[in-house]
Amino acid sequence: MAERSFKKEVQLLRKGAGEELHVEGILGVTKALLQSGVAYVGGYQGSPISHLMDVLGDARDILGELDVHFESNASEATAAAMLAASVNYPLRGAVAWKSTVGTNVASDALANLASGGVKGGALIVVGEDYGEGSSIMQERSHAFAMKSQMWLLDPRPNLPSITDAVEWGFQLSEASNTPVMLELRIRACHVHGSFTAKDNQRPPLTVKQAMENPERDSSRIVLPPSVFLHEKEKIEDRLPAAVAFIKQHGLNELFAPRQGGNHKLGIVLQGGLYNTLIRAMQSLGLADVFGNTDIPLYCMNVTYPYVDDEIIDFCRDKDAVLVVEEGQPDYIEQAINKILRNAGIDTALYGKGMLPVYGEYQGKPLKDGVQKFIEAVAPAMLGIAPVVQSYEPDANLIPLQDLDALVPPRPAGFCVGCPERPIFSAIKQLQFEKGEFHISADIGCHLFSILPPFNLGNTTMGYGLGGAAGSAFNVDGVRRTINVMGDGGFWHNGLTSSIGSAVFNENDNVFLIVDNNYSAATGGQDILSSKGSIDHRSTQNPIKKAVQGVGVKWVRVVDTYDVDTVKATFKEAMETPLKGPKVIIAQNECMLNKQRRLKPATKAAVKAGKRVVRERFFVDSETCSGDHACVRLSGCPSLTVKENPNPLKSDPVAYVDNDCLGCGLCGANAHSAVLCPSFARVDIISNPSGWDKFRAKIGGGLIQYLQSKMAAKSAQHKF
Amino acid sequence: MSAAINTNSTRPITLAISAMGGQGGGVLANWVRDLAESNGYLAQSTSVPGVAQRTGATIYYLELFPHSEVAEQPPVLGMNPVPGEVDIVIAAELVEAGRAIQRGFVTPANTVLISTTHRSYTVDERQQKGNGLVDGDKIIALAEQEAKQLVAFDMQEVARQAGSVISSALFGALAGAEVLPFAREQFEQAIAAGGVGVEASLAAFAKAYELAKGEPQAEPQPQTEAEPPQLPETAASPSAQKLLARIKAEVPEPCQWLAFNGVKQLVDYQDPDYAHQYLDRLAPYFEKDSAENHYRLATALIKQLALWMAFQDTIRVAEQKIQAPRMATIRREVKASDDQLVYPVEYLHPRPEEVCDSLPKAIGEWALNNRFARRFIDGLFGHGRKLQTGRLSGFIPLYTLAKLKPWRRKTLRYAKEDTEIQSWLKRTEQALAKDYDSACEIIECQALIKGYSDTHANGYKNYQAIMAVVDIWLEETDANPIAERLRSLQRAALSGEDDSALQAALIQF
Repeated sequence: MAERSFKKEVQLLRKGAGEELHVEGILGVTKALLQSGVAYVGGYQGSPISHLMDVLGDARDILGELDVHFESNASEATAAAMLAASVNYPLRGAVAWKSTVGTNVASDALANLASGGVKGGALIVVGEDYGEGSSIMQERSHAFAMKSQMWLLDPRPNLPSITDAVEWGFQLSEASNTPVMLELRIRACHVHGSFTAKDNQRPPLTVKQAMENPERDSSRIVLPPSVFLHEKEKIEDRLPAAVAFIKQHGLNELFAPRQGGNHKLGIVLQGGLYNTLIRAMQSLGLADVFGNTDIPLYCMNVTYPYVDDEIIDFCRDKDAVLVVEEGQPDYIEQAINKILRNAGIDTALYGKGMLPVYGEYQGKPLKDGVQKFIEAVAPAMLGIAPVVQSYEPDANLIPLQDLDALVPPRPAGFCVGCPERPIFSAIKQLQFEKGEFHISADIGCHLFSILPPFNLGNTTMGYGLGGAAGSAFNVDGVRRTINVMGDGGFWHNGLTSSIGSAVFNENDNVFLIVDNNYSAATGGQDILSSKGSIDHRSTQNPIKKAVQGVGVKWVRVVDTYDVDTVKATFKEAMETPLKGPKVIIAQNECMLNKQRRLKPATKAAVKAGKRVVRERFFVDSETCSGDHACVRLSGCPSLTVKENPNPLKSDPVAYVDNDCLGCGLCGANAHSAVLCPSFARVDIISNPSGWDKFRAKIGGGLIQYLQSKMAAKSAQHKF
Repeated sequence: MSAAINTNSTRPITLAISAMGGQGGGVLANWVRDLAESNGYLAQSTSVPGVAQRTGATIYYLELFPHSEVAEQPPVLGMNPVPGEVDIVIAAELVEAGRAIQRGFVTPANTVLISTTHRSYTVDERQQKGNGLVDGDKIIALAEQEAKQLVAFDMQEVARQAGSVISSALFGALAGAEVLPFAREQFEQAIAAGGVGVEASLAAFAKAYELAKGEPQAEPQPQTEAEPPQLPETAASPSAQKLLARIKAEVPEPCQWLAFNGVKQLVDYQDPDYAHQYLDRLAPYFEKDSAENHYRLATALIKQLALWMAFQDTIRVAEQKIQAPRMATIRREVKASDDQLVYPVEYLHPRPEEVCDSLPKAIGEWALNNRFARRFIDGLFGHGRKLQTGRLSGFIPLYTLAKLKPWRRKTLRYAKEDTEIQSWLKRTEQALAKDYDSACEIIECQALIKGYSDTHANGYKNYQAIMAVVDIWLEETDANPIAERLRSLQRAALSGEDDSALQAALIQF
């Protein structure tokens, strides 16, 4: 069960021709897939395309009505491999993943797919996780397109352009027998806008029909001598076919300047940057809000392959052209330089240098870059330069630099009550005892362990590779290493690459598998070991059985919130003489998902008059001494601080706010690290039973009597 | 419309929401979008979901453009805020307002800043061993300076009182600021159309609307450096009256209120005699301090001596856990309604050290050093206990422990603390003969001793290490003042997880 439900939104997918849809980019892409007669879809979740997978998951009925097969692929590699269905059959297939990480994982299958080519349209939707909000290394998907000869679409980030790109992406793929990648930047995936729908199309050929009528063509298989044929085809047939299709259908857009504009200049840009560029030009007075500019634009909605003729035609007779290409290396700029040189055109070409060499092109860098370009080649266009007035800085103004000290970083972190936090509390406590561990971390929410207050984790090398990344340390040492993996990474590939490999190599270290029932970091999608039962997927396959199946002898399953046991289990794993990997499976459900499941039920029960006990924590601010040792073992957003009520003390005291879910970590830490007596769990009983009330009356009465005696005594010295 | 922003066709209305993941910024963005779309505007919103949503800082961005101005082609709407081009910034937390200013989204020429003033402290601030909180008032002052118009008040509190979440209060403040070309009813319709928790949302919206409208230039809370509260004329009991009279007679006036608090704390902690002892100990220092020095030494000593003399032993903790007012505090904090029962479950884990500390000095010392006795105690208390102080089973043991208060002066812990207090006072006195500032810093070092068990032991260790430096200094004739060095040692002791920073600083000497 994913974190966000799209059950309501997916009904929009039924809309027919002419109806207006107000949706997020991702939902628009899904609708466009159905309008294109797609026969099968799949992919692997990950921001920014997680919602695409969630939408497809929630749209099962609609997909079923159209005979579209949806596969929850185990990884990007399996998703890419699934596109093999389009090799022999005219089936349109689409998969989606987070890029570049997903494309890295998928590249083996992609290279094979691109080598033999496709008969049916094969579309790969890549969520380009680059710039603000990204959680991965900063690279470009562009390189993959070039190296395997696949085509890369980068449409303008408005819903009509994005949804159109899906449709002609399939056509381009079929016209050139080549897989096509559709790149969507983070905010384009989540841009909310509108477009006009078309009718959904049933696939002309369904996967069932294809399966029942097998066809084969051995020349499509990647094996010599066909591989040499494939390379020849790529260059001699597919590339020209693609270029011809792009030209014929005008996929790249040429925007002529408005009246009075300057034809001697030009800007070449990636389609995805169009809106930001227009806004930047508008603020320089070079464009209006409708995109009418003073400089002609060549907007590359297809950023690979390059259409040499179009580029030459655009640049010819121009004095200077600016290439607006995000990220590095500057593949497009390099290519255009080569194209112009070969064509003998000496138009001055600018790009990186005017614009930052690396980093996301948000409004400011584009504005500054365009301004620099115009200042260099046609300064008159910017009008009269503003007179720089010499002015005395107002002595009373607070310098903005002061903000550096006032605005502490706020990186993403574990949520309130996260079941993963206690594991790292335990490891941190064990470190106090045993010294620092080398910890090989992995992709997933558990990677937040690298941040304060835990500061645990040395490297992360890729999803499911936590174990593999620690494999060099398979030697005897004073302390064993800890190799972390989540259940998501485990099923993605960790079972073989980390655990299987560790068994085979008799790795003597400790392997932690964080099992929170979902692929939680990507939005709570279900996986093989999810505890819930889902009618169309096989879940409840325990990780323990899997690791034992590949030969692990030492496995422990622990409840994450039981800090004492987790700590003792790690200690045992560190000390046991038994050879081979020591696997600790730390289990508890992702709190976000659990709350989503439980909250409505609890509310309903209270409303129905049933006895319900809610737990949360509380700190005695008189008892708390303000040393914050508890925070350094938790970092829970709900365990915060407040001003000290005692006028004699200046340090803030710990304080639990009402978001507390009563997960129990505060108490477990107070016990296991022998912290302090300030913590109390508070049990709040709604709709108490008769017995509850009776006990409260008897016990409470006596307690009140004793309390009043105490109060009377202290009243003797009342001020 | 008072401060209506530019709504002509040359550019869209731009609005950024600076929030933390999970705060409901998405809900707010949806409301604004629905509001605009239902009232003749084209609207585009963007966000950055994904891992950034897990409590991290994030920006939602919207652009609105009137349908009436759309010519042949639709407008090109931006994907992210451009510094200098943002009309409205809504901050769902005070530091996030600071972050928006830092990123250049708030400019004096263009931007109406609508910010809550409440804080949600970052891990960075919370995890410090001392006070790591940033100065929120200064952020408000900067916001006032940098925004064209600032609407600032505690919108979290407004939402809480209405039983809603902050997004509704922010939306109300946006409406009340009258910067968007929409009427109040149109805002309310957007909330109603959302369909979730409508009633509470509308209540929070209304309150925030009123506050924003009535107070377009909300003042930051003026620094109340003003008069300290006054001492009562007379006390309610003879024993207290005696102490009050002593404070008025002996303590310099600017320090009286603090000393009064110290005295009250110690009477509550032990008895009036103990408070007299406190005043006896303070007395010699008042004449050695002066108004020119702003009574820095006296102030520090009044605080730190009271805190030290009221050290948190098991008796004190037991007493704090069973007092009647505490129950009321808990009920209020967990927002329990009258028909709910509330039971605290105390997490207690005394170590053998704490148990022995609570015994009479001789027995305690013996037990602490006797292997068998220690093991016996460890067996009894060696694991964490959970006591329900709302039930007799948990109340009675703590009540019994608290009843040992009259014997506190006989305990091992008291003996240890009292000895340390005396040496500390002696050091202060000697230091005062050499250098006033250095003496003040010696007093401040007491603040290093806090927490319980290991945290407390480590604090003590750090304190002792610094006192060793002080002792050497005290013996040197014509040594330079040591105040600055003591300050840096204290900072070192409070930084990092262990004492490595302090050790490094000690070696530097």
